[in-house]
Amino acid sequence: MADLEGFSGQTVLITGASRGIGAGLVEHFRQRGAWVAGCARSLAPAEDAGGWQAQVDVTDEAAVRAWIEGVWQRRARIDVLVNNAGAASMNHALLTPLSSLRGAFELNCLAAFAASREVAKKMRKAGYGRIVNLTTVAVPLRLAGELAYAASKAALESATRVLATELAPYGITCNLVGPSPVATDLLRGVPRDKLDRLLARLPQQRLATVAEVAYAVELFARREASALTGQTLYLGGV
Amino acid sequence: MTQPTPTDLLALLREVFQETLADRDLPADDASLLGADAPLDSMELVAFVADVEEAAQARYGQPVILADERAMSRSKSPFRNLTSLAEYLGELLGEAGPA
Repeated sequence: MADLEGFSGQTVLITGASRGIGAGLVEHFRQRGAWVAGCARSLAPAEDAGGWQAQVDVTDEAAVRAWIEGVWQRRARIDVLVNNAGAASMNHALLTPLSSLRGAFELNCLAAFAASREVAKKMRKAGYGRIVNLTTVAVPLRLAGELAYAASKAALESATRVLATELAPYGITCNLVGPSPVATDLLRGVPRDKLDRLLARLPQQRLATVAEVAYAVELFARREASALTGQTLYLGGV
Repeated sequence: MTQPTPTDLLALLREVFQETLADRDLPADDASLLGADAPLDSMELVAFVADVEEAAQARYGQPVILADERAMSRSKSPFRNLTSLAEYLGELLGEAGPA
């Protein structure tokens, strides 16, 4: 039977899977036939025929390795990694402590790199893999008040492009999806007037949906996307 | 599980080398793996190290990352030959303790 959904039998890993975009991605890929492993700090451990969810702090390198090994023991294949876990912290630069930057880089950049490195070790044996990292329109828009978030995601963008080059010989593609603002918990602390000013700068002056983000992630995750690597796809017309 | 001996680890490295780089002659234990006259190019060395990590975990049940901060900051690289790599692998497995 043709694999009309595109991910039948594939193993897809998603970080930050407990809510918002991450939870939506888990559902999206499960509906398309993938076995999905999701992890998050606040996720209650559970497992069924369609996948496994685990409680993992992605900034804990050893815990991430153990999670990936757990997936490998269950599946002996990893097709897709989506590094979705991330957090924004809003502050004017003059009031931003270095600890905010360190925390942002740990979560938004270093954790994604560690997970990518470990799955790439598995993927290279199969000569196939898809890594999709979530970035943000805060990078190209240079949003005031989001220095730590934008700088850490910019570092992730740069790292992803180098990864794309280094992992290309193994058949592994590495790309980025940068959602415009989505109605998730990440936006809860953003004042309404600030959000309105941000939306006014976008060609599409509205919030994006989780389903729209999932579609963009799926585009890079598909087997047919073999010539797409080192690319950044921003949503909302940015 | 008892800790592997240096002889065990050297045997593991030789085995992985021959599997990863089937078309190469196995270098002597103290022959350089790095530098201009080395038998491996940089990508082959990357593949060899990654395969050693995987093989060590499969055999001894301990996850190891050979290219860690300590390895990179040592004045003498653990990756310079098979003997030094076996010693470093033994250190990491010893720290992790028995499986």
